Amino acid sequence: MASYIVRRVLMMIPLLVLVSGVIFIVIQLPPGDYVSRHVARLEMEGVVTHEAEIEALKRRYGLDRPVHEQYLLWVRAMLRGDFGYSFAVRRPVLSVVAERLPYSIIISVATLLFSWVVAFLVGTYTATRQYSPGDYIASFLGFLGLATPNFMLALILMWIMYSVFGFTVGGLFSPEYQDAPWTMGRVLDLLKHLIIPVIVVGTAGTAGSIRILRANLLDELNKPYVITAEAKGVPPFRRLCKYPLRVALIPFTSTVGWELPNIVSGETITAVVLSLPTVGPMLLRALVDQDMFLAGSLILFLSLLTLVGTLVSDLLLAWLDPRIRYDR
Amino acid sequence: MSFLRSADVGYRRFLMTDRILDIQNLKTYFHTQEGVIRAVDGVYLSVRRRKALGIVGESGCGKSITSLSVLQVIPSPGRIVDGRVLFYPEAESDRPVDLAQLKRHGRELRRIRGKDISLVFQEPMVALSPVYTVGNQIIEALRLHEPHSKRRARELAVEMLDKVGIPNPDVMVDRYTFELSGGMRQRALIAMALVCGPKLLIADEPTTAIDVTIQAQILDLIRSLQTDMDMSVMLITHDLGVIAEMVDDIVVMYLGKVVESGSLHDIFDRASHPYTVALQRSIPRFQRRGQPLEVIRGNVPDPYTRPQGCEFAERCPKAMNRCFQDKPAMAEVGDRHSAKCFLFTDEVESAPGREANVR
Repeated sequence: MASYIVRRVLMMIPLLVLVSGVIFIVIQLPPGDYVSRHVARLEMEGVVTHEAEIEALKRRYGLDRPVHEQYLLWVRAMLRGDFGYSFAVRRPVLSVVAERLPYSIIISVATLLFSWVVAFLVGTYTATRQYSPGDYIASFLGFLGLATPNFMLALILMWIMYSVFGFTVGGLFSPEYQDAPWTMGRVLDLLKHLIIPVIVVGTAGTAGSIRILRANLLDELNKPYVITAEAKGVPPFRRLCKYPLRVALIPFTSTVGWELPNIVSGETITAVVLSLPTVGPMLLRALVDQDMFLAGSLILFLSLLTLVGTLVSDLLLAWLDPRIRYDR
Repeated sequence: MSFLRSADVGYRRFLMTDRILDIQNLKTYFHTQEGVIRAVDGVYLSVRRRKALGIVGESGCGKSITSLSVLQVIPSPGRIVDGRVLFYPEAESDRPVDLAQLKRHGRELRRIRGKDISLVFQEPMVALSPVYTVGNQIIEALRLHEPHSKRRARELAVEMLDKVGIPNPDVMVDRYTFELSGGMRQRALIAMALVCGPKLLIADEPTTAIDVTIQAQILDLIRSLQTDMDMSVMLITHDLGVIAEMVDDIVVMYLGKVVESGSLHDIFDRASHPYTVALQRSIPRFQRRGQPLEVIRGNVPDPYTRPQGCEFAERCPKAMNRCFQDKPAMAEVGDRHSAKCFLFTDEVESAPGREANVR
């Protein structure tokens, strides 16, 4: 098991190198760079720019060098902990990201947990009570959730929260807690504001996971090894948990790997609608502005998050299924 | 002298023999959207104490469902709709437990499952969970019924693995099923079934999924454990060859009903029911080398509709007119030997509740 974990963690390094290369190429794909865009905008506004000044700016950020050198410079700086400078915000990338990434992680992790717990409970219920009214209701709601676009759901929930509960949704904090220091009240306020984003971002994934777990569990419930367990006298609830459920969780767990990037990218639109201070909207703006260091770093962080998510799901899988552990 | 003695012993054993399981008019139906499947439709049979009963029949004759009905571990939506499954744990003079009356998920039935009556399934590949070690599953079976410490339970599990002929049992106990061969898995499954020392072992085609060379070993194992552990055995198979070496009594099933029952010799040497006769003819035999193998013509009828008359009439070479109208009653054709055919009786099958079967 230990060697499996080590191998799996080491495999992340080449993957990360590959991802950083791809990110850099993609960011470089549109013609021009931030400095030339900036200069063009200044000229449109009638500001006189000096050739020497522009060159100096380009040299300072290494923009005059060939692409592969730029990439190496970028990577080398990152290894030293320097993620570059955001042209648009005029601050080091790290400080900009540090402000927003934690909220993104909080929302992603909370969404994942919400999605898992709900999918686990509902999936197990609908499989063990197949074709019962409860199964039909849960399946209906699940399909509804799968089919409703996130931003739509966000708008509907905002309206319901406002008109029914008189609770203004938007942002992650109420105005009085916006700049307050971390207290119990602020944490509770954050949790209150998390409910809607988590539901909105998580609904589609949850609905999908319910279907997956339900189908897997239905496949397992009548397997001979379950009947064997019944025949040797294992009580019903323990039998369900120990035998079919554990096996049904295997494919369910492997979905986490692709569920996490879904959550991260699905969050962007929701974050715009709900005006959440997460990285989603910021990444969108950085890409539009060709703010390369900011965009590159953000995408790299999100990729890292995805890799970690996949790692977690792989480790869970290895723990759940000895066939994976003993393979390779 | 020696003849006298063995006859004497035989007679005494006959007197001592009593029944451990007595199934009366058992009906297990599957209610589906397409209709009702009468998988087991009024079965009478009994297992004698310390003896082996073989149930034979084609696929779909209800032999497996009969065996699963004993412990009510029937796949959904199947359930017992009628009949009695009388279990005499100690002696037939005791009050029996009617297993069919116990709640499927209840504590009483759970106490009997795996403790007094154990099941061995036909496919060792899938009858053990792939995500737990062999030892884990055997120890679970043991500790459910007997209050052993984990360490003691493990020792007993290793002992049991040794007893069923698994090499290096102290290593194998920590192996997963996918690390074992088919024959080893079936041995492990048998070890799990026997770990609590059951009084009755039900083996549902224990050798079907196994390599032919291993089949004989597994059967020998069951046979020798039966004597060692003083068990009764109910062996389900479609293979008459398997049964010949294993059992004392035989029940032949067709379409959810018992059509003939008797001792091993009755069935093999004095087969009465045309179905039993046809079944025997379809065994490949060395003496008939070069000739085409005899088969039973026709197919098992559609499971949703049952013929009005005798279930076998359509395929029977000796069918008479009345066979298509009435169902024959079970008729005695010898001592403890009966067949359900108009060749031997004029009586028509009466309404359920009648008890006339192997004794």
